[in-house]
Amino acid sequence: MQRPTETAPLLDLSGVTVRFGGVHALTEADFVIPRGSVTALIGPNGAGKTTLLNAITGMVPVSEGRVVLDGCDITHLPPHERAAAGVVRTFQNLEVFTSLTVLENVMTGRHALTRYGIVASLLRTSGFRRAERLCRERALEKLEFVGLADERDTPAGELPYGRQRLLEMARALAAEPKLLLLDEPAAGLNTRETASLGQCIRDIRDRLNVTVGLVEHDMDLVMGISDQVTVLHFGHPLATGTPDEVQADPEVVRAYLGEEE
Amino acid sequence: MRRSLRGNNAVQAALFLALLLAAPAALPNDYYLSICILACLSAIIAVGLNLLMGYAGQVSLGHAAFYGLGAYTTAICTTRFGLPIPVGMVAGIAVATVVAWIVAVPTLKLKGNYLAMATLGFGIIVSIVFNETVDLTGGPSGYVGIPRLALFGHVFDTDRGYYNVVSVVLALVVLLSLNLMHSRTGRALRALHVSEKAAGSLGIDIAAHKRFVFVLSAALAGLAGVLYAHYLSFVAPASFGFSASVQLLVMVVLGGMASVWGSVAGAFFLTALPEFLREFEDIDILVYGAILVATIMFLPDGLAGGLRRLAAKCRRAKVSHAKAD
Repeated sequence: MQRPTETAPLLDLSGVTVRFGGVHALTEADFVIPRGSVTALIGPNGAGKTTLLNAITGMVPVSEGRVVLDGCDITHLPPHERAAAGVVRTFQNLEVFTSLTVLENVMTGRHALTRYGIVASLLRTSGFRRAERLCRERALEKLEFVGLADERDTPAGELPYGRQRLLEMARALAAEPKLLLLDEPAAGLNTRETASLGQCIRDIRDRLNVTVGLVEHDMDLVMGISDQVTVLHFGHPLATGTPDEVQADPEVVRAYLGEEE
Repeated sequence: MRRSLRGNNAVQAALFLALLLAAPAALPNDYYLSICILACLSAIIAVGLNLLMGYAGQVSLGHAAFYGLGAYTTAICTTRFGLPIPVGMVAGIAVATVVAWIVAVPTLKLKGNYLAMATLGFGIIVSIVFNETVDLTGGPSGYVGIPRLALFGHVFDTDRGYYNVVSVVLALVVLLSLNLMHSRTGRALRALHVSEKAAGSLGIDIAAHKRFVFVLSAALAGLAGVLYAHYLSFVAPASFGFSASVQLLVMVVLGGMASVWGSVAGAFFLTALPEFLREFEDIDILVYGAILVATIMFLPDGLAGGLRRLAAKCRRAKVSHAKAD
């Protein structure tokens, strides 16, 4: 499905370089996520996909280049300010708050949106109670969205793996982001779970109007749901296009299957 | 949605206060009352330390130093500088708070064992200052002549009167701590305990939250310190050294991590235990150690966790009993 991209892209990385000592994990990478799209980032292991995600969310310092989200330069903001600016993520190795309940996890996602001071919480003012009620309602909506509402009072650490992935998505969505970044959301899921994940990601785009950036190895999932695919190779973008264009690109085929002799 | 009374922090704290105020009637003599006062003071610190350790997951091995800073500051202000007692008390809490703020900025960048080492070092430094600045603090032999607490023209010179004061303060500390932990701040602290990466990515300012809870817990230790000084009218460095810090830490762990009520239970348990072990005479310290080891072995999530499990068991037994009928 082709989506309109006539407006400026939601996320625009230009010339981003990330170095770890002498190693260039990303070299002058340009990467764009159009507004309202599902954009996938693929590439062989070690191509720098997660590093790119980390550069967008502020978890690694960017040596050169710019990261622009919705017209704001966020290149040098700390992670928590980027979340407030509108980009949140999930993690490849789950980072669920295991000691909190499922609902508390999602309510934590609304931290920056739940605005009341320390004094208000100490004294349980009416403003506090109103904000907490709203926070709880919105969190429950997100749990219903991913289908975890029945588990709201379960300690998150007791959820099975696949459901913890859904919980992370609900928690990230609770922050009401403009851009949701998913780091290998299908890792460790079975075929059935992956299929429902795909539907869930489509719903995030179509029903919640949240743009999705996706790092994923499951090619069926990527090609099935993405509007745009960017292939990363040795820290550098190799090709960008629709799933069909990318699959037909000889450079991409070479990168994935190796040089023909 | 109306919350049940059992889940209401104010109701819990009010019941607790009633229990505290009624307790002295069951005590055989005033000696035990003074033990209870010290237990309340320890509970105030332990609750604060649990906010830092149990909820936010940041270890402090130097918390007795803040207790001492509060005690010495008000002692010196009210005697040497002749300031009114309320001013001395505010100054005591303020000094503990400001020092904590200064200490927090560099040390909270450290994690786990390194943070424990840094706070341990800080505690030792403060302890040395208490011992060595003899002109100011009286050195190892202590500081005498601190006035008993007097507020609004009333002098709290009986143990009973003082006990009422510390009971009210403890109940308030418990209430405010419960309220704070059941808010976005409490969720943020528990979240960053599990994963700083994820908490940061959701918009939680990790450094600010850690600094806040460290300073808050130090301020509570300072509060206990000023109440201690105006109760005993004598302070000595030995009460605020490394072993005192460890004692506070044990109260938190024994009571139950991330449980405000657990810390209160831990503080009372550990303060009262030596009194019950006096009849063992020479081996009392051995028995004390054995009880600690046994408690941690059989109640890994502390007294609070143990009570929770016991309550769940009773409920199940009741249900099956009702079914049998």
